Amino acid sequence: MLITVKFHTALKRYCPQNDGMLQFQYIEGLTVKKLLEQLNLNNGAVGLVLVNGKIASREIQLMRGDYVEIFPIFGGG
Amino acid sequence: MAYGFTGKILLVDLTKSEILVEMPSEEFYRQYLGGPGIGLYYLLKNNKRYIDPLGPENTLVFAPGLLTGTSAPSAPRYTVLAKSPLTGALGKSEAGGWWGPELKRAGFDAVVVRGRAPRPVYLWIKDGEAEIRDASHFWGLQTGEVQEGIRRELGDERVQVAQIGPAGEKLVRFANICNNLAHFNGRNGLGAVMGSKNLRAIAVRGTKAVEVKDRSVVKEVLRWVTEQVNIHPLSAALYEHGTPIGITSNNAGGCLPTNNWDYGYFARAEDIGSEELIKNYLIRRGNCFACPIRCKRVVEVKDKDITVDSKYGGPEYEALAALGSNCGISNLKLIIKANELCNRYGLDTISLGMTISFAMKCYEEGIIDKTQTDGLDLRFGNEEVLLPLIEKIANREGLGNVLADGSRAAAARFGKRSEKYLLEVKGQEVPMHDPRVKSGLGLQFALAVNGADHWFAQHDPFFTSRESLGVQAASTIGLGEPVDANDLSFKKVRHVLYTSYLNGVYDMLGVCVFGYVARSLTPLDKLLNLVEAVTGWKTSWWELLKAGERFLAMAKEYNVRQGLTFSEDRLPEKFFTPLKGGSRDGEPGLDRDKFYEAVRLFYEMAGWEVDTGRPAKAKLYELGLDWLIEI
Ligand code: SF4
Repeated sequence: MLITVKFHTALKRYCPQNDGMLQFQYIEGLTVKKLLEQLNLNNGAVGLVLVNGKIASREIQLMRGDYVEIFPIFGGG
Repeated sequence: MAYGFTGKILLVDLTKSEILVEMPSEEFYRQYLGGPGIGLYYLLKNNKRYIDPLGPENTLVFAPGLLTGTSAPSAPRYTVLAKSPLTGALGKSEAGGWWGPELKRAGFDAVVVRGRAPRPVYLWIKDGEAEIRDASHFWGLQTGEVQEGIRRELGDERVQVAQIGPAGEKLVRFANICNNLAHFNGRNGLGAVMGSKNLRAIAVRGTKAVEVKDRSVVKEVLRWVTEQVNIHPLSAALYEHGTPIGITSNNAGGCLPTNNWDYGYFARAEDIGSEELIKNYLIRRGNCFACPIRCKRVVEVKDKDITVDSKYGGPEYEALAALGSNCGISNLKLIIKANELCNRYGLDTISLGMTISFAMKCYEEGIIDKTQTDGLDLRFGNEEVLLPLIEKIANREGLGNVLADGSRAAAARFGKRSEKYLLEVKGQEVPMHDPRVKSGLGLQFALAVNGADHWFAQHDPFFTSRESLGVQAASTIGLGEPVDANDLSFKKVRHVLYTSYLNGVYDMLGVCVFGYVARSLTPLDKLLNLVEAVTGWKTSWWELLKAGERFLAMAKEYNVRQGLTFSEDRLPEKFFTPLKGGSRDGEPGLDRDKFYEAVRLFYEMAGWEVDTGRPAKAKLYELGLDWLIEI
């Protein structure tokens, strides 16, 4: 089963696909943190990560079929 | 020879129709730098205790930052200061744009206005000269017409105009000041102070470059920023999406103010988000003087039902949330029009949106009915009422006259315990950021000298992990340790304290929070290089942060002299209750006891006395503010 990642707004530029959606093979032991590293997104650009609609910490282990959404960091209007 | 500053302060007495120039020493600039440092110096020197904010005795200062007017990148800002008619505390509000640089090029570091003109006037400043001119023929006109009229009258299209709109003339307590029609000293109702002085505008034209000691360093930093702007994740996002990007990010995080903050989730948030804005209404990205980031939105609508003129710029995140989700409104075109209308009349979109949403809440709770709303059906989400309400408030008609004094005054009029639906601190409505997801922001709201303010210090999310851009950028000033967004320990207090000094320095230098760390790209060492290159001083972050601390101590002392106490540093009760809706539904609010313990600790760390609310004598000595010590 694949993992799906949706890149929101300003993060779309980091997605290899134009539509901001990316699917890839599940890897054993994959955490949110490792996922962001793989996507070259451990650069402070990401604020919020939702996994299946729920707020996820960077330490959370991903599972097969997970739907991951990443949002740019925001603060200060 | 003065570098960076011009060495001249313009003093204008509108009652006596008198104009003087003061020339402070270089030491003065080194102490107070510029912006709010210089402004507070004059406020504290001139103002007696407990003055009427709308009386002639209220001193009003316009002060660009120390770097403003040079080609240092993203440093266009100037601060307007006076006693605020909305809060009764210090009024202090920054704007970017083009006016601040022009004033410096015209040869002045600040304009200090006192008194009240007997009839409407505007001030005309050109290359070291100033005159008071009649503005009777501009009174009552919208900002666009007045800017055009002044430029025509003076025969120069390049005149920069800082002005109020009709709302400021009518003394709406959250009236703002704009420059170039699209940049705002938005908060604290300083437009009403101008209105009370019969001062419609300050028009400025300067043709002399601000002297800089070492131009090559400044050029080099500007080149670096221009090169990096599209690479750095934060500045690239600011260019592409601007602040409206926050709508969908905050909504996903369950913290987008919705229906007067009853919810943190707005089902139709995407409809008012940055992608829709770009797709349907954005015609270009605008900027401020010497800023390669271009985070400003310029929108246009030419439809049958609604037209929006691009010269009024476009909405920021704050306006989209305050007038949109916060009022339950998801019609982006209407919100854009409402934003434009605010800019024509000169109204702060945050206080306006929050005062309207408060009235909506009171209406839905049965506290007010149609007999008090001029027949308007004030349900959340009712698109029909938004534009009529703005007109009514700007013109002080009917319900608009009640709302024009802000939400706290409206609650006093509505009675029936309506104050429990208020979201304000010191009388100023809170901006669109929820302290329940970032505790330091809550401390900012409570402690800010000018009422709920979201730029009193830096925001927590930029400092939560080793990878955080803020942690990496600010380790040299003692902020290299990550602190959890919801932490309320001494670590968070220290963080807010240090970054309140940092933001104070930013304001004093005139640099934009969207140009520099942690919210953007330009790092602290480059900023220090800029200060040294511009002024020719050998300085350090130690000296600069001390200046930031000095500004804060002055502001605190000013507030005490206007009657504010420790007990005003509080938060609305809402923030101690759980979040509702969206991904954080049911998560607890701030812990009240821990929060107020942290507020107290902030006082102690800052060297402020809890019982009197003022900076301790020793602190004033340390900061070279002994002239403020009263025996
Ligand atoms: S970052 Fe935006 S607001 Fe700041 S100076 Fe640049 S264009 Fe103006």
